[in-house]
Parts: sequence; C-alpha cells; structure tokens
Amino acid sequence: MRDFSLSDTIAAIATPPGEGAIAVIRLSGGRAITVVDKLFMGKNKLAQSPGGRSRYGKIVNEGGEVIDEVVVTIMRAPQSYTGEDTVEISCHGGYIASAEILRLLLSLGVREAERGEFTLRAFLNGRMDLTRAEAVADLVSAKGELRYKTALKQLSGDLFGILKSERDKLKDLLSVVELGIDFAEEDIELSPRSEINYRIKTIIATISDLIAGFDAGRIIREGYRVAISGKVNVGKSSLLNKLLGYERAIVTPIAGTTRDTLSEPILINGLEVHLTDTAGFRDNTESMEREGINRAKRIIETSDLVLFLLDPTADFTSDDKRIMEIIGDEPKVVLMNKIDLFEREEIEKLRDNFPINVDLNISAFTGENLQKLREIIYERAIGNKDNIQRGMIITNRRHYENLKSVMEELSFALGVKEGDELIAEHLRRALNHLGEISGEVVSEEILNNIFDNFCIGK
Amino acid sequence: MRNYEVIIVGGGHSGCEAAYVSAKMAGKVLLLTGGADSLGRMSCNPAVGGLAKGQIVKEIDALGGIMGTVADKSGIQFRLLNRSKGPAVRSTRIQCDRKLYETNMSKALSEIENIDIAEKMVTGIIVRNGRAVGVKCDGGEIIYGRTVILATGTFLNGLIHIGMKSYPAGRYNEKPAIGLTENLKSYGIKAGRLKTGTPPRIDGKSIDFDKCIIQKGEYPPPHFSKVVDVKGKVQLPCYLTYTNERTHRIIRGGLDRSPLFRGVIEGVGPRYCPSIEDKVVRFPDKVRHQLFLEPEGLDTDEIYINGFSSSLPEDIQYESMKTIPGLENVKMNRPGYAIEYDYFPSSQIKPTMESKIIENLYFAGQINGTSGYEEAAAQGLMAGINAILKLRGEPPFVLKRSESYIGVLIDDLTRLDIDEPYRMFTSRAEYRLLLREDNARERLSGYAFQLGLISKDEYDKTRNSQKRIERMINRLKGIFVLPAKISKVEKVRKDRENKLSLYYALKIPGIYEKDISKIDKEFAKLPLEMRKKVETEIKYSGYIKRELREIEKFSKIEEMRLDTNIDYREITGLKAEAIEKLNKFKPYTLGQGSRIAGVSPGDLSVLLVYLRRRREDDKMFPVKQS
Repeated sequence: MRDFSLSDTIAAIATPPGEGAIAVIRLSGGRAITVVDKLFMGKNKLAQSPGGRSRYGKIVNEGGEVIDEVVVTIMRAPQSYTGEDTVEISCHGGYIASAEILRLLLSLGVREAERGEFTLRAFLNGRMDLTRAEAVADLVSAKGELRYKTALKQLSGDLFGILKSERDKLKDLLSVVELGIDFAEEDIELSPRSEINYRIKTIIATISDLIAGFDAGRIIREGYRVAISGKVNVGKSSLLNKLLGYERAIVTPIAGTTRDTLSEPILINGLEVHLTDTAGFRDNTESMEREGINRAKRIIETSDLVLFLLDPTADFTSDDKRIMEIIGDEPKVVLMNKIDLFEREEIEKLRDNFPINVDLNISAFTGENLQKLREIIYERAIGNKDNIQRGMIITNRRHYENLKSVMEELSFALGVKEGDELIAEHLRRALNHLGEISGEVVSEEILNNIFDNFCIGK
Repeated sequence: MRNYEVIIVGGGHSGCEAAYVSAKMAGKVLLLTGGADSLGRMSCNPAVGGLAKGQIVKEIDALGGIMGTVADKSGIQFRLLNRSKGPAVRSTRIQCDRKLYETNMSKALSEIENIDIAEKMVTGIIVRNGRAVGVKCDGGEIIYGRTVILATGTFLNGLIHIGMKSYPAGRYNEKPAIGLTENLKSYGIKAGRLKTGTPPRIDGKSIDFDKCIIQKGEYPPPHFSKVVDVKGKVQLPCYLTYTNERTHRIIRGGLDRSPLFRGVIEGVGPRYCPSIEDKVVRFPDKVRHQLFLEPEGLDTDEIYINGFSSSLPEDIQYESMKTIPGLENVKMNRPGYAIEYDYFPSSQIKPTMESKIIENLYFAGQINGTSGYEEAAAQGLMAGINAILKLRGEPPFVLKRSESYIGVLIDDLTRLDIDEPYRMFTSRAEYRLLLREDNARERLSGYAFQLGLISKDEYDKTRNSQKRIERMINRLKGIFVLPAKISKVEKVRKDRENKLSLYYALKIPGIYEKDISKIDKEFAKLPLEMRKKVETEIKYSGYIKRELREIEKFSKIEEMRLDTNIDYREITGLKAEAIEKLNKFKPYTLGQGSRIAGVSPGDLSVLLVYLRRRREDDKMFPVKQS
C-alpha cells in the first residue's frame, strides 16, 4: 500500500528481454526529463528541447564513463502516451546497456514501474479512450493480483519461511523498542541497547546472505556473463568459437558503431552463459586505443567472470600488464592457451614465465581442457549450491531492492546514538520494506504484540 | 423555548469541550447533563496527559480548547514523561485535584456566553427527514436544536459489576442513561458493548507511606497552556508500591466470584488497562505488579490506587490490598468496579464525527469506543467545531494524520474495526517525529485562528516565535567554529583542524542547546523553550525532511475525494474483501480508503480508474450540485 504513489517518476525497460537490436527504456512523470538530463551528454540539454523531438547523445554513468550511445525521444505533458512528461531512451539491444541505464535512473530516485502502471497513468490522465475504462480496470487489477501471486511464487520453499521469520523477529524487536517508549512507566525490564543491537545484527546477517544470493538468482534468470580477454592473437576468437561449438562467421565491424563486442549464449549444464569477446584492442591510433580500453573495461566490469588468456609463445608484454590492471580484483580465471604447441614436460615450466598464477592450461585449437573450463565456469556461476538447492534465491529485482533498503535501515538503527524513537523509526522503515515482500505489518500488530507478551496497565 | 444550534448530551470531557468550542464559535449551546455539579468529572485516574495523550492535550489547547487550561489550573503534580528519550515522545502529565478540576471546568463554561446548562436525562433523538432536530428527555419534554452531539460516555445502559453483584449505573453512585440506545437502534444505528474498570479509592490516613517509594513532581512544572501561571503551584507526591505472592494468592482465591472469569461480563475490556485479577491470571510468572498511589486532591485524603483496577468482590479487594506494603491497615472508601456500557461502532461516523445515518447528529467520546479523557475531549472539540461549520454551510474541519494526533485518532476511528476501547499510543502515529508537544501550536494555531477559536494576537505570537526559530536555525548554519571551541565535539571529531558550523555541531549526539549557548550570545538570548525547539528541529532535521517527502508523495491520493454514496459492489474489478470493507467504512478520500485493512494496491488502481471515469461522466452529464 505504501508503495502506491502517482507523483513518482517511474521507469521500465519497455522492450522484451532478449538480444533485439534496440532496447527502449521508458520514463514517465514530472522529473522524467530532468533526471535523464543528468545522465545524458548531447549537444543541448534535454530540458531545452521541445516535445516530440529525438536527440542523439551518450549516456554516462556516475564516474563519467560512457555507457552507450543513445537516441532520446522527449514527449511533454500532455502530449504523450501517459499524459505526463515522458522520455524514451533507445539504446543498443541486449541486457547490459539497458540494465545499466535503468540502474542509473533508479539511483537518481526514479521508481521502477509496476506492471500496467504506464497504462494506468495514461488512463487517469485522460489519454485513453473512455469506453475502455472497465477493460483497463479489469486488466490493472488482474495484473496486480497476478503480480502479487507470482511474486509469492517466486519466494519458493525455505526463502518465504526465512523472510517471514526475519519479519517476525523484526516485529518483535520493534515491539520491544516501542514498549520502552509507549509504556515507559510500566514495571517491565527493558532490553539494554547492547541486546537490541545484537538482535539487529543477527537480522542483518540473514538479510545480507539473501542479498548475496540475488546475484545467483540473477544468473539463473538472465544468464552468466563471461568476458574473454587477452592481447592480440592470444586466441580469444578461437576459444569463443570452440566453446560455441561451431565456426562463427567472422564479424566485420560496421562503421560508426562502437558496439563491436559480440555476446553469444551457450548452455553449460542447463545454465545460460553469455560469452563476450573483448576484441578491439589492436587499434593503433591513440584515441582509438583509449576507446578500446574503455570498452574492454566496461565489458569486464559488467561481466560476472573474466577469462584472461595468456600466450606462452610470446613474452609477457605491457599489453598483458595493462589488461591485468583492468581486470584488477574482478573474478577471473587465468588461462594459458596454445599448449598444443609444446611438449607435455615443458608446459609446467612455461607457467613460471608469467607474474600471475595460471589456473588452467588449454588449447583452443585442439579443445584440450575445455570441458574442464566449462566445469570451472559453471562452478563459479553457481557458487552457493546450498542456497540454490534449498530454493533460497532472490530472483526478483524488487525484492532485492527491498532487502537492500532493509539492510540500510537496520544499519542506520545500529548507528543511532541517542533517541529510542529514532531507532524505532529505522526499524519501522525496515519492517515496511520487508513487509512489501512478506506481508505488511501495521502499527496495530505491534501493539497487539506488546499487549500479548507484556503485562501492561497501571 | 429557545431553539439551540447545538444540543450536547453529556457533560464529561467530550461534552464540555464540544460546548466550549461551539459556544466560542458563537453557537447557541445547550449542555444537558445528569448532574450539573459533575461537569468534567474524572471517573477514573485523577490525571490529564501522559504518553501520547499529552500531545493530544497540547493540540486541543493549540486549537483553542479548554482541557489544557483546566488541567493546568487544577494540577497538584506536574511531570514530563519519557524525559530520557527524544522530544517527539516526551509527554506532559498533570495529576489533578479532582474536585478542583470540576469546579474550574464549570467556571470556564460559565464564563462563555451562549451556554445553557440543564440537568436532564435524554431518552431519544427527534429525527425529521433523516435529520436530528432535537432531543426527547425523561418525562417526555422535547427540546429542539439544529444539531445534537452525543457524548454520553459510559452511561448508556451502564452496568456496574462488583463481584457477582451487578446494578445499573453510569458511574459510581450515578444513574445510567436508559432508552437512548434503543431509540438510536430504531433508526438503524448499530450498537455494541464494551467494558472498562476502575480501582478502589482508599483513605490516605490509613497508608504507611514510609514503606512506599516517593515520586515527586518537577520544578519548574511542565504544563499544557500558555495562559496559566503554574510556577508557584503546590505539588503533592505520588507513591509506588508493589503487590506480592500473598496478594496474588488471595486474588486467585476470589476468582470463583469474579464476573470477568465467570463469564458474567459480555463487553470487551482494554488489554492495555487490565484488572489486577486479569494480570495475575495472564502473567502467573510475574511475582509482583507495580501500583501507584495517587492523591485525589489538596483537601482530601482520598488516594487512587492506580494499577489495581478490579471487579472482584469487595472482601477480596480489601483482603488482598492489606498484603501490600504500606496498605496493611488500609481503609477502603469505595471498591473498584467494572462497568459495561453501550457504544456505537465508529464505522458509522464520518471524519467530522457526524453520523452517516442521521444528519446533524454527532457522536463524540467514549460512545465511539475510545477510552481516555484526552481522546474524548479531542472528539468533542472536533464534533463541536464541525457542527457549527455545518450550520454555517462551510467546509468541514478534518485534520490529517500527518499534522496531528487528533487526525490519527479520528482517521483510525473511521477505518479500523474497533473491538476494544481505543487508546492513543505514540506508535500509532507514522509521522511521530513531526507530531510533538513542542510544535503543537505551530502545527495547529493557523487553523484555530481561521476558525475564530484563538485571537489574532495569540496567532501572531506563535508565528513570530516560529520565525525567530527559523532565523536562528539559519544563523547557526553560518557560524563556524573550531572543534576545540566545544569540548564535547573535540572528543568525537578526529579532524580538529576544520571548522564546523554550529548547526552541524548541534546535530552531533551529546551536544545540546546549552553547549551552543556558551558560544553564541545571540542564541543564548533566546528563551529556553525556543532554544530547545531549535535543538529539536536541528537534531531531527534529516528525519523530518524524509517524513515531509513521504507526506508529499501520498498527498495526491490523500486528497482525492470519494463519494460516500458509492456502492462498491457496482465497481468492477474490486476484490470481495475490499468491497465489504469499503462499503462498511465508506471512506471520504482515497487516502483513507488505502489505509483500510483489506484494500490492496490493485483495488486502489481500480478506484482510481473509477474516479476518473466518474469525472468524465460528470462532464458529459453534468449533475447539479445540491
């Protein structure tokens, strides 16, 4: 109930998920244009643009890095689908760019749209044929209910139980704090702050496990992203092709596009793995070089795992070093390729030529050890097997966002130096966020809890 | 016979407040009571205010009501509760001289023109064309009035229980009101039954206070109103003592004659205010229960034994009390009792307190299922104001949850299924940090002025003090000092080179207004009360900003009006549970509807669509406004 607001600016990816050529992110609401302006780098500010126009430019992230080249279409109220200020960002297809842009928008206070919410707003603002009123009402309510049920279904097995039990723990904790506030005169031994903090920390521990599980959940839903990196001629394309199991047509970069990265899906034990080649390093001109590095950086940052290929037939060069620096602390598997060119006894010694530990020797040419590589990738993807088997995986982004807010509020509660009412304030907010997943807790419930468990009443 | 604008039935806390404000708004008012000498009687504990209730009294006072002033004048012990916690949850409580309170209330009412007070028992409402036009009294007399406010408290079919004996009464030694419930039922108004209780009154001369723990009042006395000077007030102490296993044994021995446990009492009692036998039975592991011995007045020895509410037989009450330290030789002036009474579930009233079934009839106080003097007074105040506004043809006065406890109270009454006496707690208010005692005037005096309940002068005073506070907050933002200037800051700050603003310094836990007073002379010149407000505003500023944002976020649906004639069965797409609840409570706004348990966001979307459609239809087929 608390989440329902018409004054928010909302956003969603409007195109179906998949590898279409173009993905569209749609925003609607009073802040739509100003928010996009914060991310958009073009000739002019969007705020100056009249409605019904498209603008070409780039979307940059917090660090000023370019995410993608985009075309932004602005529609001003009431001349838009929803009747509010609306912005549509068309970026390159695939998951990475659109998800990143949506994430940036959400970080600026935009809310992810509910199902059917654009349509609802369109209707409320009189942008839709009146005779469709009842149909829309049916649709919206049906969808809302369905979403609720699906959301519940997504909370499979133990997960729902755990969320419920954390919710109850939090409810009990808030009751204890409220007891101290609303019944200060009663003869009841109140919990010392140290105990309250301890109880907050145990809830934090569970929730943070669940949050960590979101990545696993996302991997199951959206696939595991693996980048193949290494210097020129190290055998990246060969490895990609071998893993794909067929000779992929050599792709000639199309002039004017920066997206000469290609992502190809393979299945490993039923898990979808997206392989991306970080080709494009070889350009000589300095500016192109920089562009190439930025691109590689971006691919590596948005990947779940980096395969770093080393070439034992060549020296460890500054190129290798630079790639190593880019990879930094990202999860990686270091591969020594081209071992088919060496005698077996030589191979172990070759590993010492590199200032980095080699995890696996492979040959992209003969396919040696590639089955092992597939196993390693799978293992890295599905790290916490226990959680998956017990169904304790958060797959829903909304749930994930809620849990992150719960964590945030609980940490604030821990940090409160004075004022029980402020601890209560944070606990109450945490409970509201948790309640959005596992059922709302209303103030009457807290009071009931107090009346049932403590002897109250002068 | 005069034709009154407002007839008020009942002279308790609700009725008095209703009479006071409606007369102040220049209405001709008749207050009908069973006993003209019992106006504002405190039938239970002799105190006004307390946690969450103190905030309500401050709000009543800010709105131009009378309770705060009368409590201040009649106070015999003044305390601020929850002092160790933050300002939002601190509450004033005043122990009052019971007799003095009644006298001061009578005096306050008599000083206002336009109030007639008469001793009459009302047995029915006169209704013409669905509209209340007067009341029928015991003996058949009919008095006409344009509006009627029912504030009958526990008097409707009141039934007192002491042990297995029971007898009809409205309060101790006062006659109940018979006939009115049946009359209202005949118009289709539903009634229910609740129970409450009160402890014995004992003779202070028989108590050995040396065996008890003394609890003194505070100086300077915290209080409610601006107009009463409480500085020189004589204060009496309260005392604490405890029950023990022997007490509990005797109580258990009397349970076979307890009307509560023998099923004689049908009404539901409040869980936050259980009788001593209830506490002993429900919490058998508790070896003692805390009791407060509270003086009833300056020139009486009578003591109220708070925490010992009981409907056990007199002999058990007496014998068990004698086991309590200090009460070994206790003399009981009168026993505790339970009382059952009729109430009218509040889903039947509008947020203006007006009945949904009979126009111009208002319900206020305990009759709506609430408990507490303060809750009752707040409702009386709102009923009085709205009765007058309705007669003037002006828009109703409804307070929001985000601006007052009174708003929370009335919103709760009109959206919750209340099955036990409703009492206010601070945890009921989602915007608790905004609803403080210290800013009640800032929150509400604008309304009070518009309604003509406070003078321009009074209103200006509040506005000026508010401006001074705002200016001071801005000033503190611009004064920068080295951490070393404030010794306590030095301890918490690692970085000792960078200056910090006094505004920021005040945000640091452990830094208070007195630390700032030492540095800034201008700040020190402000009166203490204002300095404290500055401190609170700054310490809470982050939280308050967030609460304000939240209020803003919901303001759109909060203000969307829902017609109370809507039959929700006719709206396609609503869930069955939502239909049932919406038809029961008939919310006034979408915001109110959204807070009814059982109404989901999906239902809300459907209502939005419906509202939009209605608006379109109205454009096509305009309906004349009546």
